Amino acid sequence: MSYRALLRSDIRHLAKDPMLMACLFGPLAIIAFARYAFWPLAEWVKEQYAFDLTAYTGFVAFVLLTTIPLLTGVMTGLLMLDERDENLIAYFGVTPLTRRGYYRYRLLFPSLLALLSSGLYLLASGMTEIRAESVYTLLLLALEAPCIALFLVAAADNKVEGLALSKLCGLLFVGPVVAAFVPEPWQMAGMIVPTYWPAKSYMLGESREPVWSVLSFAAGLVYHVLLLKRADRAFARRMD
Amino acid sequence: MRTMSAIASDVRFQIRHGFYGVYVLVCGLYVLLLHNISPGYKEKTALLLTFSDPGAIGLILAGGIVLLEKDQGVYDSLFVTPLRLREYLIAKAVSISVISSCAAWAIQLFALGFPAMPVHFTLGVWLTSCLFTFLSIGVVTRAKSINGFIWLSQMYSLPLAVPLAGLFDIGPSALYAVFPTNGSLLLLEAAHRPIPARESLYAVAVLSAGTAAAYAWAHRSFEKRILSRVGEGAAR
Repeated sequence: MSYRALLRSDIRHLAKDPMLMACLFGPLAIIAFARYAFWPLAEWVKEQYAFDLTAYTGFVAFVLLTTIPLLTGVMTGLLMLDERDENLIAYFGVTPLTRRGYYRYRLLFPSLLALLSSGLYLLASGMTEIRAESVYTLLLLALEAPCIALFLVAAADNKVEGLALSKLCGLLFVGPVVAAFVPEPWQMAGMIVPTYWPAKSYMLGESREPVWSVLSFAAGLVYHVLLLKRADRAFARRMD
Repeated sequence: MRTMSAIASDVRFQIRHGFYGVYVLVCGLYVLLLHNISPGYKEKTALLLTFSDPGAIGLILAGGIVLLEKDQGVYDSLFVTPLRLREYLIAKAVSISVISSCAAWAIQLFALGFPAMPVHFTLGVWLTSCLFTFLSIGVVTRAKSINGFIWLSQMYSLPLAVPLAGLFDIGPSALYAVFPTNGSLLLLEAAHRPIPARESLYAVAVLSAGTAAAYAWAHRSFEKRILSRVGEGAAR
């Protein structure tokens, strides 16, 4: 089996596996929500509860954006666990694709999807401003998806554990919350959450602090690469 | 006796696979969130969180367990033992409702204090959890992969989320009366205010009826789609 054969099989699978379709259409639904439902919702909340949601537009926009790599990452992780439970990875390992080739291919998919969908979100959601710093956010979010997928396959023994651990991925929403609301010295505690870094870089870009935004991106990039390497080693150990 | 052993074995399985550990972290996060919400919104947020997470935990976990057991060919040997399908399903629902109840109580106690009507609250969590567990088992018999199952389970459970609109005063409340989860929300609300006997009776009745229907559907689906294929390898 080669990359091309695996891609062909995935495209065939796409029609049969509705969740893979959701990986493609989920981000589109998020974009549609941001563009068409957020503003009427904010108006309704203001009328009903006298609460101005629009004051938090930047924060809500980033939380919705975080959902995109989370969705693609979790779905890819669960797909890989399913394939591992069915011993398919061992089968791929003895084909020209090799085991390493298999999982490089698998991890490239959520990265590309997260990059494209997040880019589309920034362009079309109507909740965000496009700035030069948006590129940093996009790159970090593209790394987020394979980090999540690798975390699931490295930490879980099987799909049931993967499902339980996927609940923990909800903790990733803590990153934007810390970056937006927690006062400065306490923000250090949030640095451990990967999503803190793209959120921080994005929010600094929004508040016209380009130097701090690029520094946050650099720190986030190093952190994500370290996380990926660590998860990669853990996954390789589990496969051997 | 067999049901009790099956429940104990399921609880051990859930502990071994880290469900309880994960829920300690998830509950901690919810408690932290609730402590930082203004008092006016706290009770409604707690109600939403309890319903959608500890309450509906079985929706994803039960199906995941069944898929794994199917892959491992557990059913080929499990149902040649004296264990009946009824006992198997009840064990799944009860064991998952144990973790649901623990998580719901932890969130309630640490974020808001002792519930106003503890028996009603516990019954609400317990029955809601059983409802979602049975629904999940019915759904998973129709799924081939874990991702396909997640997608299907969201589709099947969508109607059960309709009464949530009533929480935000959208539409007349009578509109939601036939939904079993309307009963869930009423019973979970008993954590924050005493609810009259008539409302309690209605809530228990509609939720129990929904749970019984979900059980019957899960039983039939499991029998038709999994048990009838036992012996064909991994009962796929």
